[in-house]
Parts: sequence; C-alpha cells; structure tokens
Amino acid sequence: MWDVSSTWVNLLAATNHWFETAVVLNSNSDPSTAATVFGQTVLFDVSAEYRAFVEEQPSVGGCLSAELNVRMLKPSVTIPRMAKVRPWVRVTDGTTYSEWVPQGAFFIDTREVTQNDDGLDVLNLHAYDPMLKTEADYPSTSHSWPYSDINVVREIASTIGVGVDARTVDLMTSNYQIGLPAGYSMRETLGNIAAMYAGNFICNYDGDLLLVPINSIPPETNYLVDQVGNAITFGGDRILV
Amino acid sequence: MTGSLSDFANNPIGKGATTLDASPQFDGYSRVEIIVDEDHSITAGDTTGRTLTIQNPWGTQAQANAILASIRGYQYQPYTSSGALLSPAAEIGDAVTINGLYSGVYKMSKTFSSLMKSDIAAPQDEAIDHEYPFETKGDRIYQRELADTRASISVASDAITAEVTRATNAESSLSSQLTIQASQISAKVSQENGSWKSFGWNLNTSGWSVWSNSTKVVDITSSGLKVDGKITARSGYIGNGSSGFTITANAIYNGVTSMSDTAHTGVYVGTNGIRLGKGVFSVNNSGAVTASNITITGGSISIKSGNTETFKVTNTGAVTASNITIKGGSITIGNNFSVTSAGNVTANNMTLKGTLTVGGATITADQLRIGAAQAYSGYGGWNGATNLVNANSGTWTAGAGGGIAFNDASTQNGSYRSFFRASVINCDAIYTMNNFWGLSNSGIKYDQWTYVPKTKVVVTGISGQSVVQDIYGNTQYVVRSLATTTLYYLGRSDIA
Repeated sequence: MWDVSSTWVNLLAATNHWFETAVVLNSNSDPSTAATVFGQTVLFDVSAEYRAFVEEQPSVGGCLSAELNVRMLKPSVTIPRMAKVRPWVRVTDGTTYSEWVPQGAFFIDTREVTQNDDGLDVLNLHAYDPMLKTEADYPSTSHSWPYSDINVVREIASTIGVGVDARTVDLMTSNYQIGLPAGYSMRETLGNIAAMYAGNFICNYDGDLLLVPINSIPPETNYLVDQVGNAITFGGDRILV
Repeated sequence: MTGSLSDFANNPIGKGATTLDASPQFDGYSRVEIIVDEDHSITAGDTTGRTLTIQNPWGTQAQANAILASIRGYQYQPYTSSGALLSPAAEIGDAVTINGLYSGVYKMSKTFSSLMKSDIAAPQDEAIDHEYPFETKGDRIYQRELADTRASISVASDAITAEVTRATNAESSLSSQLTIQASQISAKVSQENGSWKSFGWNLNTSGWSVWSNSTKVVDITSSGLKVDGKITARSGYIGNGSSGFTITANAIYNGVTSMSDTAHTGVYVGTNGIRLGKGVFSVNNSGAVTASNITITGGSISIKSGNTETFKVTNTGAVTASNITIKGGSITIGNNFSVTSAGNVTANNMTLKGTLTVGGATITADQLRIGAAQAYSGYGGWNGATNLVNANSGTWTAGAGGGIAFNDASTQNGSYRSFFRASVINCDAIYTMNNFWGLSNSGIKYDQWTYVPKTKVVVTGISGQSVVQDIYGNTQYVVRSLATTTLYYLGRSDIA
C-alpha cells in the first residue's frame, strides 16, 4: 500500500468522495507544481494495467512492466519522443483535497492522433514503465565479480535511471553472490535474482524497482476493521471477529 | 513514500465490486524445484503439497531451502474481480478482502475516473488445481515433437561423433604413412650418398646434414641448426628473434643500435667501433676509448709517440712521463713531500744539485748569492755583502764576543788560507786560532809555515815599526808605520 495521508484515509472513509486525475508530462513533480499538466478537461480516457506474474498463474522470476493508455485532446505543446508521462490521483469531497498520489512512471512507446465525432484531434498514447529498459545487455562494470544481489539490483536500477524501493532493500537480506552475468540481459539478471526470493520484479508508482514475493500478503487476520481497513479497537484492543 | 511489505494493507472492498469469481484455494506449497538447465534441477521439500517450479540458471540448494522455508504452507487463492472499488493507493502485492474472500492483488487494471474502479485478480488459468496430472492433446503433441527433435539431435550428434572418429582414424593412418614415406626417403638418400668425402648430403628422420671433405658442415636436427664453416649473414637476428642480436652488413648489435646511440643499454659491435652500456664505454675505429669506469688488474699503461714511450704507469704505481702538466690539486709523496697547486713545497729533506733561485738569491753547488753579496765555497767569506760590511765607512762591525773564524791553516797549506779585505778594520785585536796569525796593538804574530797573503791593513793605535813574531817568538815580518793613522802592509819581509 502506497503511503497516504490521514486526509486521504478520512476522505476515502467518507461516503461522499470522488477522485480527480491529472497527467504530468516530463516531470516527477506532482500536478500542483509541474510545468505541464493535462487535467480532466482534456483527458478522455486514462487506464493502466499492472501485473505481478508473467503468465496467468502464480510464477516467479519475472520482470513485469506496467502499461498506460491515455486518450486525450491533442495538446498544443509538443510531446517529445519517449516522453515521461505520470498519472496522478487525488481524492476530494469537493471541499477538502488530499495530496496527489502517483500511479506510475511511464514512457511513451506509441502515439496516434485520430479525430472524434466532433472533429477534434484526439491523441492516443501507449506507454510502458521503466522495466522495459532492462531489456538490454548488462552494462560493463569496473568492480569485481561476484557481486552481491542487492548491489546488482542497484546497478541495474542506476543504469535505467530509477531507484530501488526501500521495501525491496529490506527484503533482500540473503546476500546471494552473483557472478558476472555475461550474455544475460539486465531483465534476465533481475528475473534470476527475483527467483532467488520466490518473487517478481515490478516498478512501483514512482518507477523504482520493487520485488514482490509470491506470498507477499500476510496471513489473514480477522480483526474488525472500518471501511478503509483501520482496526476498530475497544479500549485499545483489537476486536476479533 | 511507501509502506513496508509487512504493512501491505488488507484492502477491504467488501461488496464494493461488480463481479467476483473465485476458485478453490490451492494446496499449500511443500516443495521447491529449481530447474538450473535442461538436465539439472535442485529440489527441496516433499510432494505432500504443491510444488513451486522456478527456472533459474544460478539456482543453488541453499536457495531452494530458503524459498521452501518462506513459502511452505502458503495457499494461493485465485480470483477475478471486476469493478472493484479499490483505493488507488493499493499496489500489486497488497492483500485484499472481497466479500469475505482474502487474497492478493497480482493483476490490476485501473480506469482513472471519479470512482477509480479496478479489475483485480490473483490469476490462474487453470480454474481447477489438478490433483491428478492431466495433459491435453496439444501438450502431448508438443511433448512428442520435443522428444522427436531431441532424438534427431541425438542422432545427428552420433553421426557427427562417428564422422569425427573416422576423420581422426584417417588422420592417424595418413600420419603413419607419412612417417613410413619419410623413412623410405631417408633410406634412399643414404644409399645415393656416395660422395660425402668431397661433398654430399643426407636426409633422414632425425634431420638433414651436409658434408664437405668428410666433415659435416651443416647439421639440422630437432635441436636446431649447426654450421661448421663459413656463414654469411647480412641481416637477421641471433637469439630471441627481434629481441636478440640484430645482424646488419656492418654491425651486430643488441639494444644499442649505433655507435652514436647513448640512449640504450646493450652492445654494439661494428666496423666503426664498439659500444657497451648506456653511453658508458666505447672504442671507435681510431682507437679512442671512452669509459666511465676502468679498473686495470695488471700490466701497465703505456703511451708512445712514434716508437718513444712518453708516458707509462706500471701496476706498482710507478709513473714515467716526458711531460706532465698538473692543472690543479696537489702532489703528495708519502708523508714527507708535497706540492700544492699554489706552489707551496713541503719537504722533510731535500738535496738540490743545480741552482736554487729564491727571488733575487741563488744557491749553486759552491756559491750563495744574495743580491750583490756572494759567499764562495773554499773562500769562507762574503764579498760585497753590504749588509755585513759598511761599504761607505769601510768598517767591519762585530759585536762583543763576535768575530770571524777561518779554516785550519794546515789544510790550506800552499794556497790562500783565506781572503779578507777591508779598507778599515776597527778593532783592538785580531786573534789567531790555532796557528793562524794574529794582529794586535802590540804587534802581529804569524805562523811561520803559512804563506801570508798580501794584505793591506789599516791599523790604528800602532806607531812605529812593529815586529811580527812567529809562535816561537822569532821575528818574521816587519810592520812599518807609514803615518799616524797608518796604512800598513802586512806580508813577508821580502815583499813588505
């Protein structure tokens, strides 16, 4: 779960709330400060698909790339090739607004301009997150091999221009030593390391590398919670149901 | 910021989903199989539950054990839900509870709208967790074709192996035949080698040799080439190829490439000279030697001008030279003689056989000359020594107790005993020593055996005629008074 503020949680718990979407071009800043922001007035359809498994069944050792589709009014500004596009979401009740929460970092792969029934130019963008950049040979390095697994992950992240999610750093404590991945792509290398931890690599909402184990969810608890998952307590004690 | 995986929230959707399709929960995992390659796999656990199969060429047993420890008993809950009102903050890997079904979010499609509905799933193509393994027709066809392909590859591999074996055998046979042919050639050549006493050659399996006048002049074996006779080489190398000695028409060198090369170490031997080391030793074809350090352990060093040896140093240190100019430093002989570059001479003992000149003074074998003053060997006196006799007054001045001593008369017999000349002698007396004559205000005494020089003497304080007596008291000579201040002639009576 992406960290959110209490404002977000409280607004989400309220019955009267809705979400607002914005797409930021070529910036990591949120829509409140970014230079180029496409708001709901020009966004027709925005959708994204995220996956943890390569196949339609539980599997490990994969590196999955999320995909973004944006259908919007063709803007007057020029969108560069392979430009970064980031969708953001915030929740509001019309009076109070939460912070903007990122929904991924994507790079445009294809674009198409069509005309809608009103004769307006409609721009269709299809984009992938940074995981696609790992589909390249492992870069030449100056350090000695073997190299620890987390350092290899960091090296790959640095090569594709992203970071490593802190939860992944906490998870990868086995310190497996990786030999020189000659002949392997960064994606294969990353996948093999994911397999060592029975998981798959994806990119989180900031685009950083995140290892998701096949058994990432904790054992089910049967405590009484409210609508948004907060435990309901009685005198400080959770209520088992 | 993101929460840790342990905090993955259980996103409670409740009934906030359009559809929910769920399959039975899988059996818990009890076994891990890591497929390292086509022929090798690593396993951990048992087959009482589900097996997690992992493809990983870097897999190890330790990894398999660690993974099993992590997932043992974990039961995957497949489901598919559409239109779920899932918080946009939910991530892949989060837990979710939908209408009482607890699972994870492993696939998520979001539609960005005011409701932010998502289609989420824990996917599973196989709607049923097959406890009894079943292969479809397509699977069986695939497996069969895969097996056929492997068999074909195996057959092809066998054929290749057979071909390689055949080629190896053929090569071995050919090699044997070549060996036999070589032996036959050697034998044939040996039979025809009838002129080896004048000139001939022999080729056999151990080498090739050339004979001349019953001598093997060229011998080529597996050890190399040996030549006994004339070799002409205008180029090439001796030693380790280009790292060894280079042969040219006029020189052989290694490292040092010419007589003018002072930048490299090595050796150069050419018609224009020899050079060794990095500018430390050379001899040109004129005989000029340049060396930074020479030690000669015996013999001598000789320099000649024509046939005349003008300089020589022996191994005992004796130096003979016809002309030496020392431009600085000093000369020291033992502890008793030294000459500095300033001309300062220190000598414990010196014998000078020629003339010694010191400023205006000279010393010869029989004379000491200081300016106009001279002292002669055999004369026992000074002549013209103005510093000793006041020439202006003609007066000899001697201090109390002073005087002049002359040689023993006996050794001067027959010649001038001494020579003493002065215009005036101011004294009270001239005393004799031994048998010499004496002069006093009372008279002159003279040794009768001695020839008296013809001396002009001025005697003061004597008047009249004085008598010169010998030591025996006999009158021998007469001194005649010529005036008050009288000039007397002293001599024999016959010449007075």
